[in-house]
Amino acid sequence: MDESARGTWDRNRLTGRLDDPLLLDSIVENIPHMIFVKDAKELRFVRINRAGEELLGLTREDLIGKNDHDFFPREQADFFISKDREVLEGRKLVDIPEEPIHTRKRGRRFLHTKKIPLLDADGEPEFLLGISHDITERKLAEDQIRLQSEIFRNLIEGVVIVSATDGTMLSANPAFERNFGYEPDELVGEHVRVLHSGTRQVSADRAAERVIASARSEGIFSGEIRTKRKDGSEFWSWVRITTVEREGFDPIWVCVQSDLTERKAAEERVRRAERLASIGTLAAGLAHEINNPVGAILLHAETALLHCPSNAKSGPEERARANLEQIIQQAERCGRIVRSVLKFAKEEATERWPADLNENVLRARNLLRREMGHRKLEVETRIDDAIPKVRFNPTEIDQVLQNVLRNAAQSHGNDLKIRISTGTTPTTVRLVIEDNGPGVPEDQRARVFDPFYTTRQQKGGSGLGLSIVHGIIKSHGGSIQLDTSPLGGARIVIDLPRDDGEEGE
Amino acid sequence: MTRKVLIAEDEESFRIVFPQFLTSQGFEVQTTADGRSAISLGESFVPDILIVDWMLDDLSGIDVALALREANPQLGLIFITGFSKDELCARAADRNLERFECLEKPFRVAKILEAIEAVSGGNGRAGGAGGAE
Repeated sequence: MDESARGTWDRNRLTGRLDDPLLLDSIVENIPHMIFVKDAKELRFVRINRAGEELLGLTREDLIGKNDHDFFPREQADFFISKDREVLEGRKLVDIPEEPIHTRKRGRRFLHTKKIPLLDADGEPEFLLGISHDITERKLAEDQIRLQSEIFRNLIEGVVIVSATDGTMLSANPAFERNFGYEPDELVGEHVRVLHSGTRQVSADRAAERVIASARSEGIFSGEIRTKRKDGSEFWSWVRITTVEREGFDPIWVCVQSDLTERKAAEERVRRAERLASIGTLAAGLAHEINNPVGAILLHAETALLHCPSNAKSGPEERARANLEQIIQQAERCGRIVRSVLKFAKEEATERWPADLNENVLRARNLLRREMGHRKLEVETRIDDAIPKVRFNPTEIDQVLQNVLRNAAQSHGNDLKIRISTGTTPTTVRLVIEDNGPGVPEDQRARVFDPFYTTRQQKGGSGLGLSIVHGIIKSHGGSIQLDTSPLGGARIVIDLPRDDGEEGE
Repeated sequence: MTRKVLIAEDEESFRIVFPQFLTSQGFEVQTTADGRSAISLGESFVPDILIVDWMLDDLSGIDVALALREANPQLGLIFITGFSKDELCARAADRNLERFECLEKPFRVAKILEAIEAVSGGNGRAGGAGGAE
């Protein structure tokens, strides 16, 4: 029947034509399920429709007059025939919800089959009618869902499904519930806001809004956010949110989350250890620079004092003597201050204040030259005197410079060239360190900032230097990139955000 | 007998003031700015006492000390450093260098005299200041 015909039928005409064998024939032929009829005695096919031919991959000419043993593997044919017998002997419908079948062209398929006995006038089975629905696709989809749900349940990462329309949680996996300290299904219906804790600068609601706004506008969000457990305790999470649009349903957000507590703690431990070590080195270098001149001042003053008669009670000699004694006292005081700085250098100092990056660069250059001693080393500095002050912790940035420069210096045997430049971009103050060493192959660049990744194992590289550098720059809200220098080696580009009115004090 | 002091120090200021003070105390003093010339001067000057900066431009003070000790095992040895004494002592121990004094800059002149006494093996102060010899 075609579309136009269906619309014009009325009830009477339909009833009138139901006896028409052509109509029944047409229905049987065109129905999308396999329909077959077998004779009750020998179970040979007497009728099969087009859907049946397509499913089995055989024509009706192949099938009519044959039975299942002619087409199917023995075991399968035995199963079909035993079911057929059961139907015929019991004289009632048998529903087989799922049976596998081997087909010529489409491999193994799964059918939902109903087998019905057709009885003759005496009530004896004459034919067997079979109607089969191919449920392979549905079964595969169900299997897929089962598999995915198993993955969902067993993931180490937390996963939560959130309504993109109103921000309420629709479901969460056990890892997510565990990470946040909730009972199973307890989060369902809650707004994602309850998971945010915010930071010192940003309230929880504001933080939640930012994430939601980003997911809305970009369709995706990924980053570290401060999160809150049910008991109110806070922790860092890494989160990736993807918007999933669904035909006919509201869009959802799939959020994958992992608890960064352990990683943050490990990073912090590493950072502290390395910081203490390198502040010590820096302070020692600085102390040396100051102790030399102060030491000279002290000896000069004392020696000068030897020329002043000690019995002078007044006059120029007495005044000179008093002045020299002051110089001696003050020089000694300098010495004590430097020693106490050395001592306190081991304490933590992470305060930030507006400072001049160029000063750090020059300091690091001098230290590097001292460290490298007699090795041939050419250090070129291209300082932009106009760079604005930016807010950072000079000690930490010293550490960054030392680590990067040490890497550069150790990258190459002799005739080493290192270039340090400062400059600006519209939003940042930029520091570039380049060398003419062997550089870092492209496939390793992404990993050089990973903790414990080193290319200098034999030479005693801890693999921590650049990961600490990375941590420090990130903690300053900056960025660090590694690529190739025109000098031929590696180039590290560090950007620190300009203060420009943000937050102020 | 006038005791001889060799000073190896890259800071010019120290090379000026040390001889002024030490000659006023009756020592005979020579100075050099780097390690190699200290070693070669040591051969002709033959000092009783070497005062040497730990970190010279060309050599470590420890290298200079070891070279001169080889020629004269009785050489009195005083290191001066702008860094920490502990670090220096550790480095010296690594090189099996013993019997020395160490002065951390800044130090008073009195400390120099104490150090000289200490490394002179009980011979006391030399020269004009009522020396024991």
